[in-house]
Amino acid sequence: MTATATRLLDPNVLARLGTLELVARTVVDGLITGLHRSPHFGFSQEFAEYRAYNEGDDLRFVDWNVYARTDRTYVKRFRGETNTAVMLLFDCSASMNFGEPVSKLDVARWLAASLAYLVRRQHDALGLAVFDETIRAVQPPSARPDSLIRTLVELERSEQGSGTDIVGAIDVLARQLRRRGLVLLVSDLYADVEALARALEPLAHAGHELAVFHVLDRQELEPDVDTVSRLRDIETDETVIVDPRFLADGYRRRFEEHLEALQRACRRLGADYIRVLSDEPLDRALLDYLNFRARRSP
Amino acid sequence: MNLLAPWFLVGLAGFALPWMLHRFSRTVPPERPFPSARFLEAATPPVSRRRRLRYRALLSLRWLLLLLLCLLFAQPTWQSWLAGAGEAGVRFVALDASLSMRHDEREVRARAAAGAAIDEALAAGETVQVFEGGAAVRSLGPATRDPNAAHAALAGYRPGYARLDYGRLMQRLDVLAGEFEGPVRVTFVTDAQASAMPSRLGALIATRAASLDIVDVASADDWNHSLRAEGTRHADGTRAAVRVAIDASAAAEAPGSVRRELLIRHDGEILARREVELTRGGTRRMVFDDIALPDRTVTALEIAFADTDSLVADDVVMVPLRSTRAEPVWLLEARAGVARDATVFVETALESGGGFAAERGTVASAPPDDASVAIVFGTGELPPVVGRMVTNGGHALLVAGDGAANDERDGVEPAVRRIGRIDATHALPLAELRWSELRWYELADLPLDDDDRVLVATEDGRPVLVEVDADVSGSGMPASGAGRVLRLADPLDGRASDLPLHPDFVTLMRAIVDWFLGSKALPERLDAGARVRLPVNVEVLDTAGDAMRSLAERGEAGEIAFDTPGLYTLETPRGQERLVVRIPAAESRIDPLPAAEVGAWEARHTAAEPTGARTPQARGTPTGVETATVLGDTAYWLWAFALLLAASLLELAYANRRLDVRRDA
Repeated sequence: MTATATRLLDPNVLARLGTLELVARTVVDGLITGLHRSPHFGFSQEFAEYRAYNEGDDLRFVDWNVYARTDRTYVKRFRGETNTAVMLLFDCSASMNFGEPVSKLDVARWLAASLAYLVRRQHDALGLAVFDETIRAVQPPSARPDSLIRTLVELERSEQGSGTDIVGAIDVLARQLRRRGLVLLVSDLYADVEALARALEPLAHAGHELAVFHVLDRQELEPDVDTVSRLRDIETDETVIVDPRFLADGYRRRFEEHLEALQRACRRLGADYIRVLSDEPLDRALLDYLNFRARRSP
Repeated sequence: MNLLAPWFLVGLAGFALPWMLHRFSRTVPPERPFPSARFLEAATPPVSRRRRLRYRALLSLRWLLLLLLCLLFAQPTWQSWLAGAGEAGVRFVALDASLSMRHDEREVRARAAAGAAIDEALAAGETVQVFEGGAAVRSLGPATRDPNAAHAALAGYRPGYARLDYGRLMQRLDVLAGEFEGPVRVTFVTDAQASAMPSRLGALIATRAASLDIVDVASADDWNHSLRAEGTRHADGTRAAVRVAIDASAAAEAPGSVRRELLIRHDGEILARREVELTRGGTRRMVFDDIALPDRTVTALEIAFADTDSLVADDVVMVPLRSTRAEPVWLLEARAGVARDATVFVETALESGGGFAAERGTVASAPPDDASVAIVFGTGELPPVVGRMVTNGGHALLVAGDGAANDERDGVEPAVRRIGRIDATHALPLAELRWSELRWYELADLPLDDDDRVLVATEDGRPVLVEVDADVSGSGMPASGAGRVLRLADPLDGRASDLPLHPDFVTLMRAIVDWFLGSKALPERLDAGARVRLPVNVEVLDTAGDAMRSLAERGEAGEIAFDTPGLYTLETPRGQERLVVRIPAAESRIDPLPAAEVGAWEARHTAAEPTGARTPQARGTPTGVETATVLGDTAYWLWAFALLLAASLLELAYANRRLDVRRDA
């Protein structure tokens, strides 16, 4: 990845960009440009699969090497032609509005926008569901040219919500998604792990490919509190007086256990777990998506 | 370490406040948002309420801050610590070297006391410097911690004949103490003589002295008598008259009176004797009016007690015999009859004690033969004939005419005037007269020139007696003259003032004529220890007849000190003159200083407890002692405020208001 691309993916840089579309374009184009210039580039964005030649197919896409070896005619099929349905599940609960100078919500919004841009660049159908403790907005997957814009617009205006009910939102959405495709969950996943897994199970069983983007702030992983403090839950307003020694020890242990439980649950469901820290560039998260996409495209 | 204001240490009780804050305070910790409380657990109060280390550190820092504040206001003496670790300070051992210390065994006791003080100071680690105070305060040696050097300095101690002023001594020690960094303690060995006290008691306080310890070496039964005498030769030269005054003083336990025999001797031969009873605190006057002299060449007699007391120096005096040949004094009136009464008064005054012969005349007449003094009545101007006298070395006293009555002037002037200013530095013994007992009802105007010298003036500044500069021209005075001219604003008629009727009028007139007729430069009598500036070509022979000045020194004006009492001879261009250097009368008065006053004098330094800094600045202490302080030491304040500032910054940097400590269960 080139330095320019990396720089463009730095959340601090993205924060100075204007529209979400610009952010998404900058992120994705920078990523793709970097990918193309990398000596380690080996990932093909174009070719997706072979299929048998049907009468009327364009002979330009016949792989004659394969024909020479197998006496069978196969046609290359490109990704853009797969028209996979990608559903973005975007968590805008109150807990997402945490972190400085860049909040998790901002990072999640940029990530979701970048994913949306990438999805459309690959000619996949794009859908969006925004939720907090209820489903705030739903856009069924669509390959229409305006699907990206509508998604970005919806992401732009999705402000911080109140509580969180990921499980409930996924339950509802799982019943609404009839077409198999990719489900990309962008959330901080503050829910009971088992309940979350039970909510995602129907999606997995329905054949959806799941990718969970776990957006976190570094303060959640490593709280920088050195004095006795009153910590107020953003969603419930509950305050807890904590000893900094606990935050350095007990809390981190509990949170690590929660992360490990999430990862186990995702593995059990066959879902990809991608951790996104708000102070890190987005390139890694997007690369992980691309790899996921490459592995899981139907 | 000393504390000037130790009561400020009461502030240390404030240590309890930060302790209570750190111990019991339950301030609300700051609130911070957090995504989710699901993984949080409330901290519970620790069972032991054990504090975190930084709280203890913060508490210690706050205690340090409070301690520094209290010490700052308590004004500790840090100077010795700053000057050098381990230095205990300086001890001044000052010895009284006045005449009275020659009395009895005082000198011996003083040496012993000073030696003990030196040993004590050196044992305490102090640096010692030895001083003596007499006519001047001088150091007998440098400051030292060497016992041999200190005692060698003490060996140089010699009481003289001069009077010591305690105020001058203390002020000098105060100045010297400012040259040392550490505390300076003073041990003063003296006979605590009341007559040595200064006129201004504030001079007794040495503001830089950390303490004053007065060692009194006088005895409770000390007795002293002293002599003062004058002698005159009769006209035939074979007989003489001697007037003697005897002062007696004693300590509390001394006898109230003693009988002594007074002798008048010449070359060991007793010419007269008389027994006299002396009363403590009194003055006895005697006249030997017909003493047969061995021969006409006798110029001085020795007056002495047959039995001397412990202070021998003032029991013997040498008295020069003044000639009784009457000096002619020309009394002349500016106008006939203008000063009939004044003439009588002056004539009587001059002739009453002998030595002068008044001759009357007028401005139209010629002066008497050998007359070199003229007293002119009824004018402020020199008549020509008197002017010629002055030009030729004569002298004149101009007595004003009738003065205007004081109450005839404008209404704001007083009806009665008293003397308010006396020029005590003049050769005339003006300070010895009782001017305060005189009143003026009329006073003539004496216009003054710039070079005129006002010798006596009233309270409202009207000149009474003026010495006129005889070199001034244009005022009726000769352009140059060797004589002296005085002007008196009092007409001496007995109505304008009380002066002619007062006993001191005789003294004044005789003193004026004596001064006219005496040396230009020197009086006839000096107190031992006096320093006099001699004019050119004056040779001084000491009591043994040896020259005190070299040939080269005689060729120029110079200063000479007369430390030893006795009879000196002056060889002047006008002839040979005698100078009596006498013991200061005050030194012969050995009346002791009351013990309470000595204690109060010491206590003034103990209450002050200054730190010996270089620049004492009086800032009021709660005791009100104006000399309490040495807070002006810049180094002290710089150190104190630097420490205070550093402690404050540290406290600010580490202050933690969240004093409620909880511990995970």
